[in-house]
Amino acid sequence: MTSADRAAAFEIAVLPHARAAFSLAHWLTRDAHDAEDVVQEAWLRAFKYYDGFDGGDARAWFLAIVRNAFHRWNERSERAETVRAGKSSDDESDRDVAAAAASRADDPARLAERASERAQVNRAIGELPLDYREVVVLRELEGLSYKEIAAVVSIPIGTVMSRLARARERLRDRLAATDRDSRGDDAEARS
Amino acid sequence: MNCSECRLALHAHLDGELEIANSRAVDEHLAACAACTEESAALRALGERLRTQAERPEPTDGFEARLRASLRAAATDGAPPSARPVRRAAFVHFIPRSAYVSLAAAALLLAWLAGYETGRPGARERALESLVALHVRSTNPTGAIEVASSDRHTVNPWFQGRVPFGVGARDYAEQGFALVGGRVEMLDGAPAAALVYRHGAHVVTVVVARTAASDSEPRWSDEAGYRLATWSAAGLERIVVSDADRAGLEAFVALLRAGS
Repeated sequence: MTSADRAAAFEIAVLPHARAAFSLAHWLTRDAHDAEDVVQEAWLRAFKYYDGFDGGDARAWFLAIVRNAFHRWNERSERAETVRAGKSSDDESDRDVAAAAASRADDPARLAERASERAQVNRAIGELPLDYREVVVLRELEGLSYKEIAAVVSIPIGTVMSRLARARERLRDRLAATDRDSRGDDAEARS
Repeated sequence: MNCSECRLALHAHLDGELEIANSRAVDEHLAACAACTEESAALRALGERLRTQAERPEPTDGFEARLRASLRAAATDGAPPSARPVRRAAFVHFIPRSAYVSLAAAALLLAWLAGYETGRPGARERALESLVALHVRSTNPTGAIEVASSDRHTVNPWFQGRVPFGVGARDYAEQGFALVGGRVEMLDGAPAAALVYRHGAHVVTVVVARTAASDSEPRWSDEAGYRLATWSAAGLERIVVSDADRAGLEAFVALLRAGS
């Protein structure tokens, strides 16, 4: 097989998953430009290691490479600190995130955004620690099975289940809080 | 099953990841327990909210084209990866048998195009090459369809905001061409709609893209096991790609032209 054939075979197997890869990378980096860089790096890496691909689930295989590329990017990145702020799951970082959200909320544009339920959902996911965010994105947005998520993240299926459960618990708390806030704002506006 | 067991199993239950026996046990518990039923409803609502309201970020125009370009650059570098042949057996395992036949045909067509490149307008040939690759993607069962529905009231709105024109997808199941779904594809750097139909054992891809060309009659290319028909109407180019028989495809093209 010539290198052109090899590239064509790779493209047929992997290109259909490029948009899922971009979505995952965007949710991890929270930036379109960085997300494309991460996917681009993963894409060439995947091509390099394509001979070792066992022919199973191409999407899970590629998304695992995207995830690894993200972690390398995250380590290199100057912004590593800000991104990592979401990673530790202790209360202190939660307070930081809440404080950051509150300071953004002073901005009038942010207030308008807050009115939108979509923005609340997106923000709630974006504020999850990385470990939780990735399983939620893979499950709810990309529709991967537990088995596929386990393969992408390299964790046992039991851990997939417990992370999903905790992530959803946080999302519920967060969304319940923002729903209460926006109702409070309405009441204030009326009075 | 008690409440704490139920709560443990509830996520997997709602995600459809529980075996049937356990799933039944959860249902039985839910039928008898108001608190767990409430929890189940709340989780279901959360899942619904995430799936319908969370953003699925879309890359900018030309994203796939840029990936392909970087791949071509890497592949022609003569870099070490090309030295080793692809593990053919593994690849055969991944691609379903029918698609593998299509893949072989696609490789033939690519070879034909490569030999044919001189003396004909290049853009057309590049488009044919990418069209065949695009069609082969339609035959890949995992993830090649972004909106899976036979209902045009689901498929057409899905394309709004994803492609800059009305797609006008219709189901022709009664005439033997069942709409399976669609996805967005980049064609010559612009977003195009790829609609996937099933015709017996064959997959048919219909690409809809904007064009500046004036209306034209279908032009058929019949090469290497694939048939392509392309025509323009009202500022849209439609391209039908399939390995189905010519007579059936001609009937399908007539349906599409009558419907659009």
